[in-house]
Amino acid sequence: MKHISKSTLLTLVTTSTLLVSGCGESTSSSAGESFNQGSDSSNSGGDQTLVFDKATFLSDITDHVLIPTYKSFESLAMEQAQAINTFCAAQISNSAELTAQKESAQMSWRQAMNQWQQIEVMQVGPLTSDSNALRNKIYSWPVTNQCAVDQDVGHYENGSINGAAYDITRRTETRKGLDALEYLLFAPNANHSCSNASLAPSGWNDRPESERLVARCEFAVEVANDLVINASSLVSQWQDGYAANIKSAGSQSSDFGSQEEAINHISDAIFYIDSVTKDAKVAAPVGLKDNSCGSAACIADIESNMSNNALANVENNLVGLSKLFLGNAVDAADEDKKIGFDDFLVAVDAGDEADQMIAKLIAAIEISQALQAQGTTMQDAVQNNPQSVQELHQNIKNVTDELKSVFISNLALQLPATSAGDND
Amino acid sequence: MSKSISNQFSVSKVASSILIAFSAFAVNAQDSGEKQEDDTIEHIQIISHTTKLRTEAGSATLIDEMELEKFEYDDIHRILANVPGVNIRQEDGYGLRPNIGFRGVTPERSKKISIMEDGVLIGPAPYSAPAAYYFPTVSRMTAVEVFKGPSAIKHGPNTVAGALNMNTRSVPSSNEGMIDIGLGSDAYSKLHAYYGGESQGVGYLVEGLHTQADGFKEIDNASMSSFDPDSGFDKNDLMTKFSYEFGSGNVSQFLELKLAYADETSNETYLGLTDNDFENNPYRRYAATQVGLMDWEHKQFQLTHNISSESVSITTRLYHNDFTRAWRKVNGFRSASPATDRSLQEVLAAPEEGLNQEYYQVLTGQKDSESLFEQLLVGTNDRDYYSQGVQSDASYVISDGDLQHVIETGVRFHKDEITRNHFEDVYAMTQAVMTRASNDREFTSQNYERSTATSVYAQDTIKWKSLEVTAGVRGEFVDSKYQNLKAGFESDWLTKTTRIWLPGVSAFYQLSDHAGIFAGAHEGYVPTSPKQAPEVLPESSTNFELGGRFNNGTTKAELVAFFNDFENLKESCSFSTSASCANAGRVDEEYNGGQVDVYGLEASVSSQLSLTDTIDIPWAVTYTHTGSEFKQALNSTFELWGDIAVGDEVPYLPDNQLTVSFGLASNDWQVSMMVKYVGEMQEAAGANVSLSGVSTKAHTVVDLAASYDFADYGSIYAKVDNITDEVAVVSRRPFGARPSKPQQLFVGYKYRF
Repeated sequence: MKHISKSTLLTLVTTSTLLVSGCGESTSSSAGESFNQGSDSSNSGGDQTLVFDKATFLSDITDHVLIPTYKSFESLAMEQAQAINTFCAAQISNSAELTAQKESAQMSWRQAMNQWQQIEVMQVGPLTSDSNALRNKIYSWPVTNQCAVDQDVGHYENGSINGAAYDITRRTETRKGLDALEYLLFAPNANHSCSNASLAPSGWNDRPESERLVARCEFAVEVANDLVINASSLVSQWQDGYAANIKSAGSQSSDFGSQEEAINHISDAIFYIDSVTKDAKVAAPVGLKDNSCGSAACIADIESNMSNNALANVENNLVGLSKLFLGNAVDAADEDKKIGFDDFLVAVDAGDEADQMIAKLIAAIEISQALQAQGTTMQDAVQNNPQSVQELHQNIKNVTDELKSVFISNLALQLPATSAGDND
Repeated sequence: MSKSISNQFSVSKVASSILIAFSAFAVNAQDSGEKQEDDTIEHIQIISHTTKLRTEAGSATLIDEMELEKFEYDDIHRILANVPGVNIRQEDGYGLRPNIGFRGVTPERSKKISIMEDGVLIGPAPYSAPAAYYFPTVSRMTAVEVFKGPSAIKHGPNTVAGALNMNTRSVPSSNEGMIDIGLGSDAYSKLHAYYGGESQGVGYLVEGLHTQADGFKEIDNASMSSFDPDSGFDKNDLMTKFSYEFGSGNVSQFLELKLAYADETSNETYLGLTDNDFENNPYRRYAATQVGLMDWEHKQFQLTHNISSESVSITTRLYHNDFTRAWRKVNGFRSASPATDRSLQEVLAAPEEGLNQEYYQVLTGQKDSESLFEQLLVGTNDRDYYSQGVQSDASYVISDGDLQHVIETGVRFHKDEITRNHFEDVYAMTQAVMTRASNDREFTSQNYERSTATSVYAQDTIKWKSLEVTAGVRGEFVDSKYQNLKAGFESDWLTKTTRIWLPGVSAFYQLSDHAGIFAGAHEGYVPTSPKQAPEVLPESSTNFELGGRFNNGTTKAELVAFFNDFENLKESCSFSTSASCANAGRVDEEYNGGQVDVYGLEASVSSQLSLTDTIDIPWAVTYTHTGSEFKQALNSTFELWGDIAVGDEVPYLPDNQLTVSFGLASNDWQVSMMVKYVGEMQEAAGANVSLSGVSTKAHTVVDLAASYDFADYGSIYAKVDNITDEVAVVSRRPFGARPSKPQQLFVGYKYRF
């Protein structure tokens, strides 16, 4: 064996010790401009956003946009419940006012629905918790089930399900809410919608029409009352704590670790306009995106199909976005205008981008209004004038493209994963 | 090379020193009698077969061929029951794609341990995509070795937990062969054979293995579909080896070429059951799983060279592995709206809740897909991998009186790559049968990740009288690139260069011929994948262990306490963890978990009692206690974590695991029983994820095996896995409850010639 000296040994030990103490990790990198959809912080306006008063922004959005919109819906839900109650009384008594009362109930539904469509782009806090349970209780589209509503008309009429008293609060979201009410108020006839008669209430189609219509309207009253409870719950959750929670973002008392996190939560809600309004409500029915009919024009995928309210829904989604962007306004010159995302952009020297965004929003709203003014429904447009729907889609896309650009590049916000890529 | 030299520095000696570490020391330090003993053992092995007290610090466990044959297991999960410190999440019941972790690291696809075959990294792309979708068929292995603690620094890149090395059959020193035919429950069958020999230094081996089964689960309405009606698998393995021994003077050399091929088709899915459905029939599979099919092919080339003298041993390996796989399975429902979209995990965790009912009815075939949101996305994750490199390991022994050094060093130049070509097809549930809803196909991920790594390690083991001190360091130098291959995304790329040094130090003090104590500390590291932004930190930890070991030739015992101090625990999104992140387009995205402590106690003892002159009672007890806690609060969207409070435990880590095995053994027969207890496991660490607060229950599985040797006429064996037919939820991932393997009977005949 080879002889080694003590000095050699010492050297080895010392070297080992140095190696042990000399550890460390270093990483260097370079990235293409599209890496992580270009969300690298070096590309963002991160530091510039410091000049913007985010606390005031959160407070104004809460007090002047979100809560007023929710409250307005609560009022309309109450009016709707009253109108449906009146209509049902007329249905039961077969009053001469029945037609007028039904139209009044339908109109009240449209008003509530239009307001709700603004809230669809304001799904923040209580509307997102517990897998969006409250939102889906109020409106579960696109997950709807008219046969399930038929079943609950029967259960409600019987007063029980499997021996237990009927309790609408325990029923699936597809059996109640605005989507169920649309079916109950606008269905063209009293027949059930189940694919198999065995799924519908026993002998339903054989019963006298008047009896079925009464059963439906009585259930509509129950659904409308439940809707009021849920609308009130939304408002009270905001007033009883969530408003303070979001306004105090970044403090110990808030669930939000930072103001940026809270703002990002609101911006996540805004991107409804991309994945739902643009894609699901407009692109899919006209065949620009895959749909349940296999990419052809698809009436079945149109929202609010029975009430022909689809175009108004789209318009109100855009209006809701305007309110968030402009601060409770649909026009920058509106004297009621409060602080919105446009002011955030101005604060980071992106006033031009804010102006472009506003212009594109107004253009999209005007297109949807123009279509409605012509008396066109989404069904008509998809079938007979698909170019008009494609134009509407393009205008909404102009908005969402601008949104993606300014929110990432100028406001240092993260896009929700569903909108991070190019869905088109 | 002369015969005498060949005997003195035989292939097994050569191989034992390969990859090295303490084994080189162990072999060199032993007397010639032990060298002769080693000559008879497998070639490519790291841990020596010594019957004496092992003196390396760090937990190292060897399961040899005799032990492996006792239960004829095909499932690495069951084989590792006798190794302390192993945490496992079972999935398909057959162990087709194991989930193995050591000392508390996540078991997900065994991605955090270094998996080797014959001392070479065998994962499909160990640096770029470490999830072990390819795992060698253990039925053809002749030894399984597990390393934890400081010895892990020689087996990178993942040094946080440890390494698992599996040894294939070595070229026999004389002509010999074997044929093994087995049959079992659920149409299980096995045909395993090899033949090989050696003459004048030239040897060869041919080995083939085929296993198949119809599976123990039944798929709803599968016979009406256009897909395979059963839930089984079909696997083939073929391996050839050619070896050549030569040398001159006191220098011996060994050259071996290994060529191997393997393939598998298995009708596997990620979709399990709701808890209620599990109660009614744990072996049911929903109609939506009819499409499940994993199809892979693996090719392997390895050239090994060793040159040895009395004091020096250098082993060099050139290797190339190709792996291609496509796994078709239901991923989820079509996205309709963020408020109404539900992952499969959410649906199965609460099928009666809210909108989940709508989705559950479609999954089970009770309802047809009528609307867009009811259509199912069936993803085929098509991936091609390669892993290649050359590594050289050397050991050098120098002595000076009572002082002895074993200097070990190694270098590896490695390159691996994964190319993803993932796509999704849209299916509709129609009368409880999965049917294509449209011919449109969306390509979801098309990219590659490539890593080029140079690894070095150097270690000196200094022995002076009863004390052995080992100090070493590992360096990992990784250059990586991610590139999106979708048209229009050419500028979506990232290149990274990472350099890290990982030290380790340990000591062993021999108290007597039969007992010693040891302690060690080392740096743990798991690299980030090439796609991860530089802000995502690599996993890093400082690991400590303290233990004692006893071996008097009959009784072996080891007790080790360990403490892993994670500076940053890391996880990554995969379909196997749950789909909510994967469906949101964040597959392979990595998450920082911050500071976490994992600690525990590992104990093992084995011995043999003599019942009569001809009958012995071998027995062994293995116990692991593990504790863990997150040291900082964390709100994570990662499905295994959720919103974590300080003190929350790491998921899938049972507090206690105990395996007791015992039997009766005579010269020509043996009966063995293994009882394994696994404690309760949390399925998620924190709140607000779909499996928050949900645990798998503690369960005990008993396996029984027996064999009888007819000498010249071969031997027969029979075994019953899960003899009590215990039914347990082994996990609720990827989606829904999954059962352990039910009672299964196997019989076989083995003939050696």
